[in-house]
Amino acid sequence: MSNSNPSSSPDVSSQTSATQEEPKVKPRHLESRIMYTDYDTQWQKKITKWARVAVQMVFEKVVETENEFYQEVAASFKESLKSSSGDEKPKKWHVIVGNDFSVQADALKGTISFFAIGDVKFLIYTSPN
Amino acid sequence: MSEEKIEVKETDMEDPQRDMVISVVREAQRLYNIDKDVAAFVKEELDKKFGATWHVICGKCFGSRVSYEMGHFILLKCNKVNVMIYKCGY
Repeated sequence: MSNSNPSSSPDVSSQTSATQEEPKVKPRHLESRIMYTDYDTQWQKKITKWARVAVQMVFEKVVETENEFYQEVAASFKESLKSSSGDEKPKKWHVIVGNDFSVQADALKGTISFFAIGDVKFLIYTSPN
Repeated sequence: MSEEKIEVKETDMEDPQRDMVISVVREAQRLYNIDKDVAAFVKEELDKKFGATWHVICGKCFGSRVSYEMGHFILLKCNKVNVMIYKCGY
């Protein structure tokens, strides 16, 4: 007489889930576009970076009007340009920021840059001392 | 025909020069409709009358930080268009 027990295996179920990482996209309002520049790539990158920082800083502040926003951005950005001069003779920077402007001016050769950070356009140049 | 109203928002100019600049801007507004043409006309006229070099910015929406000679800056508003004029450089 033999005694046999049927073997049983537990019902094992597994559950897996996959999470998708969101692509790292730069906020559109901080994307840069270079329309015209007299500067080399390295210097233009610095200029663009300072402009982006200025836009970000002013976004975090409370400003009442659009013109006031541009005024603050221009002020912050110009400070960056001035501080970059180091021991060089101070340059007369001209900074215009906005989304609706036309300019007629004389600039030193090789000092003009016209670019945008998002919808904010920047025109910079220097003039003779 | 009535003249367009021009508002002086900021200036450090003396009255005679300020009045001359305003008359130039008024003439430019009469002749041209596009901001860049207004700016070009004003700059050319001021360079002739007062010597180089003048900078002119026209537009509805902008801010700025610029260097200019003392006594040679004016910011005007004419029909929602701001006109910033200043002298800097030789």
